[in-house]
Amino acid sequence: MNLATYVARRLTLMVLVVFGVLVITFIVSHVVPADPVTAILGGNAPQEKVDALRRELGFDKPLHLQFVAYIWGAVRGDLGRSLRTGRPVWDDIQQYFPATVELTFSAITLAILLGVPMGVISAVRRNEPADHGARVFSIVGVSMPVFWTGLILMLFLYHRLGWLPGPGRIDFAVLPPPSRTGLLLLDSLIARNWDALGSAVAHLIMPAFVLGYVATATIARTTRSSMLDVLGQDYIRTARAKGLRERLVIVRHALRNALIPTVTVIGLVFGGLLEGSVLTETIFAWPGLGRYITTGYLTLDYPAVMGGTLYIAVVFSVVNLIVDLTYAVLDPRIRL
Amino acid sequence: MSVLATPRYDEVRRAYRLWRRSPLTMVGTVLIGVLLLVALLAPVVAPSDPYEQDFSVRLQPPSRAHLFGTDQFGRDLFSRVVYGSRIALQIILIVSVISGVVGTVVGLSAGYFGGRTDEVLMRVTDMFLAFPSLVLAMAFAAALGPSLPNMILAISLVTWTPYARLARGETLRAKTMDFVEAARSMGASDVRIIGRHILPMTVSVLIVQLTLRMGTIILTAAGLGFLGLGAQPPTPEWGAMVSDGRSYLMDQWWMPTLPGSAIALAVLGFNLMGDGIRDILDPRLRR
Amino acid sequence: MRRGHVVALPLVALLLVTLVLLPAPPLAGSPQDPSTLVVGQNTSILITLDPAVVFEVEGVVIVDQLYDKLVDLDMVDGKIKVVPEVAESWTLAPDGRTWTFKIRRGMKFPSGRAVDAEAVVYSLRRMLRLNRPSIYAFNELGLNKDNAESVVKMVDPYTVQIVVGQPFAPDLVLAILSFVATAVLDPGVVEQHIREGELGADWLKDHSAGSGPYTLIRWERNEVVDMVANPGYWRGIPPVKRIVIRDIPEASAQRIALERGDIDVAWGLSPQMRQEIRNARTPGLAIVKVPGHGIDYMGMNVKYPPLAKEQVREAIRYAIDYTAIREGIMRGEAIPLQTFIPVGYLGHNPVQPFKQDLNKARQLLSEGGYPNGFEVELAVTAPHPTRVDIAQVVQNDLAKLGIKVKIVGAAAATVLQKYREQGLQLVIYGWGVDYPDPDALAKPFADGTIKQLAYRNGWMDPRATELTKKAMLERDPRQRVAMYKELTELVAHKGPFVIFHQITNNWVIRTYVRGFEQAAALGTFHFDFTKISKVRQ
Repeated sequence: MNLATYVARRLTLMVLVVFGVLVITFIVSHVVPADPVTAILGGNAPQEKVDALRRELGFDKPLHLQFVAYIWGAVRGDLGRSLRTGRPVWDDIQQYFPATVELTFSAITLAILLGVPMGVISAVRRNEPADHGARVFSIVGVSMPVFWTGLILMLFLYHRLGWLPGPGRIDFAVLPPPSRTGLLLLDSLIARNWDALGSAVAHLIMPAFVLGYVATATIARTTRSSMLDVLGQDYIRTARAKGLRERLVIVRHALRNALIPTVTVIGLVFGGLLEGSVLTETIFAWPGLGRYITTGYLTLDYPAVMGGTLYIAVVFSVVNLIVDLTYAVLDPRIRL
Repeated sequence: MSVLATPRYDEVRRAYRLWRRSPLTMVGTVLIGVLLLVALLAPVVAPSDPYEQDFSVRLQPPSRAHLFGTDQFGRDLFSRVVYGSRIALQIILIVSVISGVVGTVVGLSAGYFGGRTDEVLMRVTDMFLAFPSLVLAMAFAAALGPSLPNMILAISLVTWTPYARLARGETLRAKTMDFVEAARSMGASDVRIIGRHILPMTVSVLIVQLTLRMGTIILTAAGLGFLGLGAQPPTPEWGAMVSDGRSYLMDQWWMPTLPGSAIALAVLGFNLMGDGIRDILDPRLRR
Repeated sequence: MRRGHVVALPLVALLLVTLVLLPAPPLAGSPQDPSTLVVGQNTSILITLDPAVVFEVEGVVIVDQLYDKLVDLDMVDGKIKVVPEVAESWTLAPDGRTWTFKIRRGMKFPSGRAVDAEAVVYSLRRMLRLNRPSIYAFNELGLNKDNAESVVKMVDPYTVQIVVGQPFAPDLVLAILSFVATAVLDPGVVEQHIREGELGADWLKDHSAGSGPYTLIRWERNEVVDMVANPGYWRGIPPVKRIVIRDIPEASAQRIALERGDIDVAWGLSPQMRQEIRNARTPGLAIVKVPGHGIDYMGMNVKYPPLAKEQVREAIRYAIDYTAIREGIMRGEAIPLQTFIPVGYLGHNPVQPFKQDLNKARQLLSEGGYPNGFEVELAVTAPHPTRVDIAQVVQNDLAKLGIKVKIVGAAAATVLQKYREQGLQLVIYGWGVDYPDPDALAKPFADGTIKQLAYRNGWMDPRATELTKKAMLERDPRQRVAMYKELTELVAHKGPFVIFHQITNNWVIRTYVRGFEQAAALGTFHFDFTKISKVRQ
C-alpha cells in the first residue's frame, strides 16, 4: 500500500469516527431529561415564555429532523448556540481552544524534556539507584490521580510556599495583551509585554507538570525499554568494539533508533493529555476546552457539549494520523 | 488446556521466586491486601458511621479522635475513606465483569465469524478507541444522570474495547489450531466450538489483562466522581470526596487530600502488582 | 544520520525556547490607583449588556451603571422604596391605569442629545418590541409588543404616558418599572447600529448608549469589563473614575487576589471562604452583608401520597434543624425567614413558627397516617455551593422520623424540567425575586392557578389564589399588608413548602474602599457604584 492510499483510508476512517461521535453525542444529549429551554430561561420564567422559546429554537421538532438540522449546520460550520453563554458554540471553541493547546503542548514538551533523558539514564545505568529512582517516579506518575496531584502541588507550591502562582492563565494584576492568536505566550511576545509573558509562563509550570506527569512516566518507560533493546544489538557492540566513546555510542547510535517507539508513544499519550486536560483545567481554573465541555456536561448545555466533543474528536484523529505518518516517515520499513 | 489454566508446580515456584525478588511487586501486593482487608472489615476498622453528622465537631483537623479529621457536617473522614474502599472495589468488580463480558463477546464474534461481522464490529471498536475514553464516559454518565450505578455503566461502556481486540486476536489464533479444525470437521456447532474450545483459551489472557487495568478503572471512576458525574452525596466515594473537599483546600487541607491519597495508594497497589504479574508472565520483558 | 535530526532538531528548539522562557521576570503588581476600583468576579455568566435583554444578576448590575432608568430604587429605614430617576415625578389617573411621568430636565447623553420624552418612549417601545423573556413582568402589566405604540406615548417633549392593563396596586407597577429594562437609550446612537429586525441588540450586547454614571470602554469576554466615569453625568462625576471588573471564575483565586491587594472587591466568594476570612480576621479586609432578594426552600409535591397529608408536611417543617442549616451550611449569613415575603419588602411577615421539635414532628407524622415514615426522593441541583449540603442535613433530620430520603443530584436543567411537570417529590431550590414587590412572591408561592412553584408542587388553595389576585389590585397599602399577612400564614402552614431562610448578598472588600455598604444596600436590584470611594492607604 502506498502512502496516498493509506492516507485516504485513514481519512475515511476519520470521517466515520467523527460521524459516529456525532451520533453518540447527539443521542446522549437528547435522551437526557433536561429541557434546554428551561436551562436558558431559568426557574422563574412563566410557562408561555418557555413554550414560545422552544418553538423558536426548533426544540419541538421530531428528533430525526433536529439531527439532520444539526448535521447540516455542522457541515457549514454552525454548531448552534451555547445555552449557557448564549454565543455561537464555534465562537466559544475558538476562544477556549488556544488555552488548551498552550497547556497540552507545554505539558508534552515538559514530558519529552524530562522523560527521554530519564529513560536513557535508566537504561544506561540499569539496576543502579538512578534507574530505581526513575522507575519509582514513573509508577507513581501513572498511579496518582491527576486532580489529586494538582491539589497537592497547589497546596504546597502555591498556598503554603507561594513559589508558583495559582489558578488561571495570568496574574490578575497583569493586564493581558490584546488577543491575536489566543495563545498567551505568543500574544505577549508579539506585544512585547514581558510582564504578561513572565506571568503566563509562571502560571503554566504547575498545570503543565501535573498534566505531563503521566506522559513523562510513559515516555521514560518506553525510552528505557527500547534503549535496552537497542543497547543489546550487534551494531552497538560493534561500535563499542571499534572503540567509540560511550557517550557517542549512546547519543549517535543507540538513541536515534531507540526514539522510534518513543515517537509513537508520544502520539499515544496525546490522547491521555486531552483527557487529563479536562481534569487539570478544572483544578487550575484554566479557561480551556476541557473545562468548557465539563461545565457543559454539568449544566447539560448540549450544543456546547456536542460542538466541543466533536472538535476534540477531530483534533484527536488528526493528531493520531500525524503521529502514524511521522512514524512511517521515520521508519520506512514498517508496513503501512 | 492453556498453560495458565493448569500451571505446573515448578511454574508456581518460579513465579513465587520472581515475586520475592521484586520488592515493588511485594509492596503492591501488600497494598491490595490491606485494601481488601479494610473493605472486608470496614465496620470494625471504621470508628464511626460514615454518614453520621455532628455539627459540634465540624471541620476538625486530624487528631486521635478523628484520624483524617472531619468534614463540613462533622462526619469522620477516616470512616468515610474506609467505607469508600468498598465502593472502589465494587466499581472495579462490576466494571471488570461487564467490560470483560462485552469485550469477549464482541471480540469472539468478530474473530470467529470473520467477514462482514468482523469488519463492522472492529470499526465500531475503532470508533470507541479513537476517542478519549474519559470524555466519552463523561458523556454517558451525564446522559444517564449522575449516580454510582450509572457511572459504573458509563465506565464499562468505554473500557471494553481492549478486551475485544485481545479476544479477537486469541480467537483468530485458536481457530487455526488443529483440535478446533477437528471439532469443526466432526460437525460440532458454533456455540459448542466457542464454548468448549475457544473461550477457555481466551479467558486466561483476558483475566490477566483485566487485573492489569484495575488501577485505570479506579482512576477513571475517581475522575468522574471528582467532576460531579459519579456517585452523589452523601455516598463516600473517594473521587466525590476530593471534589467535595476541594473548596476547603486552603484552610482544611485534610478534606480533599486524605481521600485522594487513598485513591493514589490503591491505584499504586494495583499498578505495582500488575507490573509484577506482567513480568512473571512475560519472560521477554524480564531484565 | 539525517533522520536523526528530524527528532533532534525540534527537541533542541524546544529546549532552547524553554531555557529562554523559564527564568520568569518578577511579577508586576498594579499600582493602587485611588480613582480606579478593581473588582474580581466570575463574569462567565455575562451574556449581554443590552438593557432590554439582560436578565442575569451580574449583567443587571453592570447595565445599572451604564444607564438611567425611568424610576430607581432606594432603601429607606430598611424598606425598599421606588424613587425618581429619569422621571422626576408621576401621577396616576383615577382610572387606576393611566400613569403620567414628568421627565427630568437638563439630563444629557454623552452625544449631547437631551434625555427627553422621545428617548424614553423610544427605549420603552424598543424593549417591548424585542419582547425578550426578561420582560415578562411587563407583559403581566398588560404592556407587550403588540400594543407598544398605544400604551407608551409621548404627551409633550418632557411628559410620557403609560397605560397598564388593569388598575394594579401602584407599588407593584412602580416596582416593575424600576427594572433595568426601562433604561433610557440614546436613540441616535442606537439607530446608527440597527440591523434588520434586531433593533440594535447585537451592538448593544457589548456597547453602551446611556446617560448613566459610567460608560463602557471595553468588554473582553472572560477577561475584563472596563468602564469609565461619564463626565456629563447629571448627578456629578462619581469619585471612582474607572471600574475594572476582572474575570476570576475561581473563588479561591478571588480570595488570594484580594488578600494580595490585586483587587479591591471580591464579588463571588463562597460562604465558607468568607467564614475563613472572618475567623482569620485578616487585617485590611471587611465583609459587607446586605439582605438578598431570594429564598431557599424545599418544595413538597402534594401529588406524592405521603406529602398530600397536611400533617406530614407540617411534621417535616418541625423536623428540620433550621439553625444547623443557617449556622453550619450558610455560615450565619442567611436571614431567618419562614414566610414567603422577605425582609425589607412591603408585607413582610416576621413570624417564625417552626423550629426543630422531633416529638411534635413524630406526633404529626402519626396523625398524618405515617407513624413509621416513608421513602421519598429529594432532588437538588448539583453542583451547588450550599444546596447539596442542605439536602444532606434534611436527609439526616428526616431519618430521625423514619423518613428515608434519597438524594438525587442533577443539573439544573434536568431538575427544572421535572419540576415544571410536577414530577418531583421533594426538591431543594431557591427563588430569586424578579421585582421588589410582594406580588412577585405571592404569585409563585401562593397561586396554584399560575404554572409556578405552588403548581409545580401540585398545590392549589382557592383562598390563597383569591387573596393573591385581590392583593395585586389593592390600591391601599395598609389593606394590602393585611391581605399578605393572612396569605403568608396560610401558605406557611398549609402550603407545600419548607422555607429555610432568606439569602444575603455578600462582598469581601479592602477596608480602604469606602461607601460600599451604601452602594450595595439594595443588593443586586440596584447597585450604585457612585457612592463608592477609595482612600489612600
